[in-house]
Amino acid sequence: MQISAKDLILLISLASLVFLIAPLFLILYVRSYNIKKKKYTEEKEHMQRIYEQELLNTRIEVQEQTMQTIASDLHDNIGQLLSLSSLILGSVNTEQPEKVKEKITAAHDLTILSIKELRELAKRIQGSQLISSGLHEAMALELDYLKKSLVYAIDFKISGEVKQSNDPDRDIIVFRLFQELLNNIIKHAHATEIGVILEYYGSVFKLKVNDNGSGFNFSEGIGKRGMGLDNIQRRVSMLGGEVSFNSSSGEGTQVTVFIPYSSSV
Amino acid sequence: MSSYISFNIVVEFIALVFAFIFLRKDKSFWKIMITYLGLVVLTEITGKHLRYLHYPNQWVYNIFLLIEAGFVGSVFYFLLKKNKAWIFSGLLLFLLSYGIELCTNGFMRFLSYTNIVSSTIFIFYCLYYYYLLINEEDHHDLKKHAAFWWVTGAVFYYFGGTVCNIMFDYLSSISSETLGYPVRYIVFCVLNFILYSCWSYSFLCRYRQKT
Repeated sequence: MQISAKDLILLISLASLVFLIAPLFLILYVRSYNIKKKKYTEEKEHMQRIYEQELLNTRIEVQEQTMQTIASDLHDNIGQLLSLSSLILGSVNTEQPEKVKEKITAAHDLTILSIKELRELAKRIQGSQLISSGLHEAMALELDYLKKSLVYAIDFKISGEVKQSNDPDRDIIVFRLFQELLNNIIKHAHATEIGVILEYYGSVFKLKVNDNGSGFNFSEGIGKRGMGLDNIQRRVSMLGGEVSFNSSSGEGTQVTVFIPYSSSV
Repeated sequence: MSSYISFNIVVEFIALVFAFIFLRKDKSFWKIMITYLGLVVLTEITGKHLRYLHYPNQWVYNIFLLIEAGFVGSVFYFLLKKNKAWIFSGLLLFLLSYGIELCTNGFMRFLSYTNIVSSTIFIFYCLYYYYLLINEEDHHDLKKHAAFWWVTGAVFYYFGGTVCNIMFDYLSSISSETLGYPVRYIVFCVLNFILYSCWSYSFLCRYRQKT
């Protein structure tokens, strides 16, 4: 079959048109891919901003908690000791020399105790700054302080090889999580025993906090103001981890947190 | 004088004016656009003039093939910075084809196969540029991206002209009177319009990018 010149030309024209449409679709594809990349970058930046904001909030919360502890410790503990020692010194009567020595000794003992308490307090302030050099140490200091109240029997265990984090920002969020879990126990659980287990498995670490308190119904607790469970969940998921709450009324609570851990060798 | 003015020359001249206005102060490789477009206009006018005088003009376009390959290769050399091997391999292939066809057909006949080879190489460069652009981690504002518009013009021109380039010998053998209309001329008018519109816009983008 012979193709006429006109048919061939028509064919050439159509083929040229197709060859023009092909790059058009290619360019549309490049454009849509670029738009997707733009959206992805914007989303990433948005997430980064949220993370930074959360980090800032966490830092403020940790500082606030430290300040609250310092304030209550100064008022309830050191303040009382110094008031007592001032009272004792004020009651010293030089006309009763036999009692002077006894009172001065008592005031001296109280002053020494105050100094010891102040040192403990200073350690605690340092503790919130110690997070970057060791999360487990900051946690241990937090628990030591709680132990001192004599309200709780504390059991703190670390298993696995303790690794130094190379991301202090993540550590401060984890530390704040830990503080929030302890706060919940103090405020709501009416517990007498607190158990904390910190386990390191390769690139993940597990934090398990349990108490023998009153427990709670998880579905009710999630919306309850003051418990901060949604806050805990949000922060854990922001770190790419998982959290599980195991609790029922009257049977205590067990919270398990898994967090991917970036460690330096 | 009016016989020297064609649609293609007007479009090319406008692109030259755009290049001069927006790129004359540019200190990068973009400045070579002015020289190249100047040579394009000069080639077209020379070709027209020789045709007007009934002299063969295909040798002019054979020389221009060298200029075009050198220019497009140089631009892609800067656009595909990390992949210089591809540029040199492409240019080598072009020169090989040019040499072979020159020895076979002589200088007075248009080197149509070399034209196909060079177009294919340039299409490859354009696609490779898009590939790199897609794989870049950062996104670009494509509406204002000078290099993107330059490559877009090139890909339309070289890809769209493929059929006419392949059928060049056939189209040259039949007169436009037989067909009723000059197909190749119309196709290349459209392609030139797209090419130089995209390039002119890319010059504007480049100017805005710098200021």
